[in-house]
Amino acid sequence: MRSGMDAKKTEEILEFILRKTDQGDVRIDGLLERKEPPITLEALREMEHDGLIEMKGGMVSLLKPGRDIATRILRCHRLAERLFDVLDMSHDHREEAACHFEHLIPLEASEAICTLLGHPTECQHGKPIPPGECCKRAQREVQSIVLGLADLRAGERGKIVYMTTKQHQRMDKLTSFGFFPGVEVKVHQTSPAYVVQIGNTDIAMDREVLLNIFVRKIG
Amino acid sequence: MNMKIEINLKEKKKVALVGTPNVGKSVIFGVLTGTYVTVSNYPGTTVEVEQGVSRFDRHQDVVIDCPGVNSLVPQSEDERVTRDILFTERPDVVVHVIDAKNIRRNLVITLQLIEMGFPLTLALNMHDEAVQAGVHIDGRKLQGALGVAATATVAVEREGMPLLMQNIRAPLTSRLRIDYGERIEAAIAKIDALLPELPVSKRFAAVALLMDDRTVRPLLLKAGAGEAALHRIDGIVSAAQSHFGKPLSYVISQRKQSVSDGIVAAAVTDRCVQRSPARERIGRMTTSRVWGLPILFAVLAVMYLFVGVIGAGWCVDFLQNTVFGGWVMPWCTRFVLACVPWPFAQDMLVGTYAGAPADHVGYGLISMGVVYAVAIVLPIVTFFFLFFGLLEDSGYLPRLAVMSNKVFKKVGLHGKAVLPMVLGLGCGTMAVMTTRILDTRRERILATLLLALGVPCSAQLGVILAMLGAISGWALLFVLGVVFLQIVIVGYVGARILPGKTSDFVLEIPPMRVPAMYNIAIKTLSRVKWFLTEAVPLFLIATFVLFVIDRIGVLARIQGLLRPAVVHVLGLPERATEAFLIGFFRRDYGAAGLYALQRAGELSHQQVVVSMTVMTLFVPCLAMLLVMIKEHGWKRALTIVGFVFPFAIFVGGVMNFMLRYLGLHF
Repeated sequence: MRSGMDAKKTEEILEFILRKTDQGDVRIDGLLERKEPPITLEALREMEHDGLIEMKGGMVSLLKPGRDIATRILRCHRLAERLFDVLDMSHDHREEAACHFEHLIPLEASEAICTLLGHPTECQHGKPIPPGECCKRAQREVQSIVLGLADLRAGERGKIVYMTTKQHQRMDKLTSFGFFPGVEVKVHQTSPAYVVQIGNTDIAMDREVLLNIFVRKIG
Repeated sequence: MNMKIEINLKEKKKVALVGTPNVGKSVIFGVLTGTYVTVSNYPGTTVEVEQGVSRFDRHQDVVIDCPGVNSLVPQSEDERVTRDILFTERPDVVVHVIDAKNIRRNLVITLQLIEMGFPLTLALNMHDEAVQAGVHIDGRKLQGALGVAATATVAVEREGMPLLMQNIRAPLTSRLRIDYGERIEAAIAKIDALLPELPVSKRFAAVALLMDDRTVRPLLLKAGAGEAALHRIDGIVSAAQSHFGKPLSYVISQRKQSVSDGIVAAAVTDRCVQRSPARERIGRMTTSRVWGLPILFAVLAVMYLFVGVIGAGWCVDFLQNTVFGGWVMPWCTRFVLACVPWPFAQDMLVGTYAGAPADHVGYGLISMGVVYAVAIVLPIVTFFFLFFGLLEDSGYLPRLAVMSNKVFKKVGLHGKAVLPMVLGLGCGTMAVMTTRILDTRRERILATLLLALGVPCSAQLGVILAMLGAISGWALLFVLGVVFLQIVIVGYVGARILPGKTSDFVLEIPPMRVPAMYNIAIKTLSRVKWFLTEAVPLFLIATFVLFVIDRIGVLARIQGLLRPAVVHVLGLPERATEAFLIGFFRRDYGAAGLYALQRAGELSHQQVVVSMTVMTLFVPCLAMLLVMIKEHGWKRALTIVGFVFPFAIFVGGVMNFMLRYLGLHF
């Protein structure tokens, strides 16, 4: 295969070029100045040889195969950040973990995560997450999208995908009523207060509480 | 002889009933204990705990009805009391009453009880509703998985009760142990080693500590845990937490839920049958945007007819005029005057004495205390409690909470507060006790303030309806409107002054049920009994105090102090002062005093409107004040009174001048 350079490093460089491309033209000497990880001219040549990038007039541009890889990696990175946010991981480790994560997860898993998170379009820093196949599919099949429980209309059902945990007390209250990921709920009414059926119990609650519960719409 | 008693004592067991709210626990309690019930406040709180002696065998077990819980890691005072009872009373048997159709959620509490290490038996109550909902529970598999007996019951129909009683006599201690995973288990083991011997399992306490349950600490300190040990435990907890992105309480709850889910998957089949469609449709209509309000007003109208017209009108008329006015009082007065030789005692008992002047206004224990308590207040309160019982057992009360949620949000409370408020229309004293169902201290204080300020109790309401009804419907609406407005204003301001936030509104809505008359009768009887034993003595004491301070001339002096406010600010006749003063002892006494003035033609319509408003906003009655002090301490209670008293006079004064200035007539 590619001599002297592992796939991870290639992916890293391609991702870096893609990020730069979004900000404007990418100059070769600019890339070579990068320290962490260092980019060598040799590495760029090799990538050009593999048909991933093109170097012309001191500029670097991504070719289709290279862009595909870079997009996939960037997407995984930002999805990972999003996932860690939902999992409430400590901030210090997020970036580092996302950097490892992006190279490890297979396409199928990244689609599962994307679906799980409700096909997010932005990472939590507000940067766009490139859409994957699953997002395009989801746009056709609206049902599979993850919504806030408060977004369901009266009569609609959903399966809880995740719950955010900023307020412990609220969380404990919800769990003591049986709200957990994987549980099916049905919204019976939204006004004057929300009434949600869980199992065979109807529970009335405020909209604010529902905002912490995310569901995948079913039926 | 001595031997025998000892054996009896040994065989006596303590049975604790535990379960979620609305699960029929109190019905089971009623079946187990019959009528030998004592209601007492749990030490240090105002939460009522019922205790009774079992009648199902000769052992005379003590049965304790714990307040309803959604979790034994407490989030409300009710839940804390139940946990504390389990912790300190060391019941020999715990009966977990489960809502059979909601077994999935209820089993989590079962798992907590098992974790506590109690001998346990389950009552799968409301089995009929579960069957209707298509929930089939395989008892044998459930028992196998949990390691305790489970009895299917329909308590209101007495179904399954004999078997439940057998199982209570032979409870099992489950050996089920939830594995929380390596990290949490390691932390539990470490905490375990630092805890002293406890009345419940150390494992339960350790799990509670890991779940950041602050309320368990005082119990541990009492059991002999040292501050140093608790401090080290804190370290263990935070070290354990650092391994998890989510709070440990969530991780642990989720683990319990998944164990419960596993048991449910094995033992329960839910065919998701449509629940009784008609009943369900009615249930949904009561909270819907379109039908909710009309139904609410219809319920209020029925309540007015039942309590106001039948109870406060016909019944009071009959008792006061026919029974007491026609027979009891004349007979009593003759008897006392003939048999009691001292004028002082005659006056004290029947408010008059041989040779009394014609305009003598007496404060006789019988002529005033007993007549007001029994002839006026008792019928109104009884009718109210009957209706309240109907609302409770039909499942309408929580729906009322849904409908009123938005209004209460404006005043820093939420829908749950409708329960004490509606109860306040019956008896403010009882309502203050019920504020315990609210989640935070802030909400309890706000609710108490509003109860003290603006919610008239049924007895008072009866008199208000009679007096204002005699003028016009507009006068009635005007007074109620002004009072309502004051509640909203004070609540709105209060909610912004008191620190803290309103807790989340999360409330279970039980299905609509056709209430069992027998159970409502039992409930009403026990409430009336409470009224007779708790409130009536206060009536008598209040009357006696009035009699004494009248006799020694203090009444006249206090009236002298109040007179300027009453006469000049409120524009009322001097004699109204007396009514307001009496109103402190019982608000309805005061209202009744004004009623007498109106009947005597001493009040204009404007004056009636002003005086009724002030009387409604005025200080709570003595009994309510005592409960407020018990509930919130001297300082807060007196602050509330210190605010309400001048505020009532102020609003009355403003009303008085406005009515005069604008020349409004009713």
